[in-house]
Amino acid sequence: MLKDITLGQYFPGNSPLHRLDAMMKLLLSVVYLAVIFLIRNFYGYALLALFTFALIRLSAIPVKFVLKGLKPLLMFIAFTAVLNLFMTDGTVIWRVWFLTVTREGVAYAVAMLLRIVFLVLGTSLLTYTTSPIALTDGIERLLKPFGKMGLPTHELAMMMSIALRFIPTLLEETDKIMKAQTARGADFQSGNLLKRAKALLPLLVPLFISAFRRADELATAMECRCYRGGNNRTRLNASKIGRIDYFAGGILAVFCALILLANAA
Amino acid sequence: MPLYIGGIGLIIKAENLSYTYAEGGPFEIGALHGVSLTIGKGELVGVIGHTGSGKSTLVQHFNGLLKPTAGSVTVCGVDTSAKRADLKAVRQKVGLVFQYPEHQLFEETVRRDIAFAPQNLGLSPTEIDARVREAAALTGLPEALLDQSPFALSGGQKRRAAIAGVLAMKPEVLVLDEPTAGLDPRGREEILAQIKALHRETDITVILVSHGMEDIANTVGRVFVMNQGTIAMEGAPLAVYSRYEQLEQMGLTAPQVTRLMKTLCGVDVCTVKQAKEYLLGVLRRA
Ligand SMILES: Nc1ncnc2c1ncn2[C@@H]1O[C@H](COP(=O)(O)OP(=O)(O)OP(=O)(O)O)[C@@H](O)[C@H]1O
Ligand SMILES: [Mg+2]
Repeated sequence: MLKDITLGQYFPGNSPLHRLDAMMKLLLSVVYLAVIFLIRNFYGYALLALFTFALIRLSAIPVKFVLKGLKPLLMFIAFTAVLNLFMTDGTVIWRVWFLTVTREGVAYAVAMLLRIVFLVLGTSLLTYTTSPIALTDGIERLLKPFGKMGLPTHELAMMMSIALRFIPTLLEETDKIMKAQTARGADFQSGNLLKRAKALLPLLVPLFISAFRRADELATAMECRCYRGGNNRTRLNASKIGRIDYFAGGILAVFCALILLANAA
Repeated sequence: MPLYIGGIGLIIKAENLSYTYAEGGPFEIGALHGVSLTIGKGELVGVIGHTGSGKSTLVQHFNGLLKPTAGSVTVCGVDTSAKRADLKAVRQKVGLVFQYPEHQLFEETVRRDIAFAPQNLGLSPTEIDARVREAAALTGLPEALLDQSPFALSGGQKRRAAIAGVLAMKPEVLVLDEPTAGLDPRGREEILAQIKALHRETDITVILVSHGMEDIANTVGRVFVMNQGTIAMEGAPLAVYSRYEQLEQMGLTAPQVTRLMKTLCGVDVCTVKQAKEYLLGVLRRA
């Protein structure tokens, strides 16, 4: 179960997608996500699928692994699709009992489903190909203009990078405690909702304790090394926007144009 | 010391066991490669090996927490990777004390924490109470501590409480993954002595994972040496430790007394006690 959570995971590699500058990749991803909502017809989605698949191939990450990111969201996706299927008004094409399915409902449900799938695929591709450190560096640089307005950009970026850094650690810890309690006869999988919620207590208490202990240790370690915010800090590996980034931007622009063309079709 | 003979009284059997973490992912790690071993009923065996050699991974197969990627593990007659294997029954028979077990404590009082396992077994309150007392006594936890919060205990006391939490299940097999890690010498000796006493007084099978070569030599009857996910050596501590050059190649060091006695007198010993007896014998003859 825990093995399915791929959020925030980084898949090391040296593909063109990995080599893109993190800030540029973030910007391009935002454009990609926005474009998903502009699509109006089947051609657009076909184009989007093609483009996304090409990106996955380019990233050299196994398709199976990228699709695995969808697994924890399967329930949510199905729920959204079903809700849209039955709740949209329009020309009725099917009616059973109190449920009605409309032509618009079908179209809307399919569109919704595709949108969520591609939103997830797009964002997973971003986190798979960008190390957490590069990602927060990118965010920090993106937020820089707001820093002048008093936004604590460095602190925000630091908080994010710590959070991202600790996702795998906490998952590992959860796995370990779960195993230890299972060895003492705890059962996390069966019983009704209330019983299952109660069964989580032996997992959550030790997990919180260890999380707070870690937070405390990390804070101490940072202070011991004289860490103090972002002013005048320089980077060991300063990243720059280069040719490959402009090239990627160009490709995405062409893609956007094609989508708009498809919309007109 | 009861020894495993032929197929009689066999309790754990691993055949060609391999295990891979995160199979198919980018961080795939092969932790065990073709491990075969048998452990007899009532044995007290040790598992040693360098960090990352797969000891913890191996022992988690003994109660079905991990299932082999290839090969098979049979525990108390149950094949743990079989589709309909009753893993709950296996976990009840095989008590596993994890590395740093104090991280699993969660209840308000020590008493209730120790009672967690027997409660999950669905025992009666009187039986649970009896088991909590018994387990606390076995691990040397004073009664007075039972009504304190487990988080208020010292490190060694927490460790004892956590071990008691597993003992309260009354398992047939007790697996301890580095029960003495991070304890002071006195706490280490006490816990090992309690394990030995428990093994002597009941017919429990004990599997002890440890980094302490001397602790193992003083405690167990048979030892498995793990190296990079395989079993490199197996036998009585004396026989294994006498090949200390090989052990050193695997990143392990035989007890100092073993090396000293080999250099001084060319004899194989693995505990200070054996060395003392040998030297006394030499002196008497002289
Ligand atoms: N939950 C896990 N996920 C991925 N890899 C793991 C996990 N647990 C262990 N490993 C890997 O499996 C290998 C064997 O680890 P294991 O914990 O069994 O070693 P060990 O002999 O118990 O070491 P130690 O003496 O440090 O406790 C190591 O390479 C380790 O990195
Ligand atoms: Mg270990």
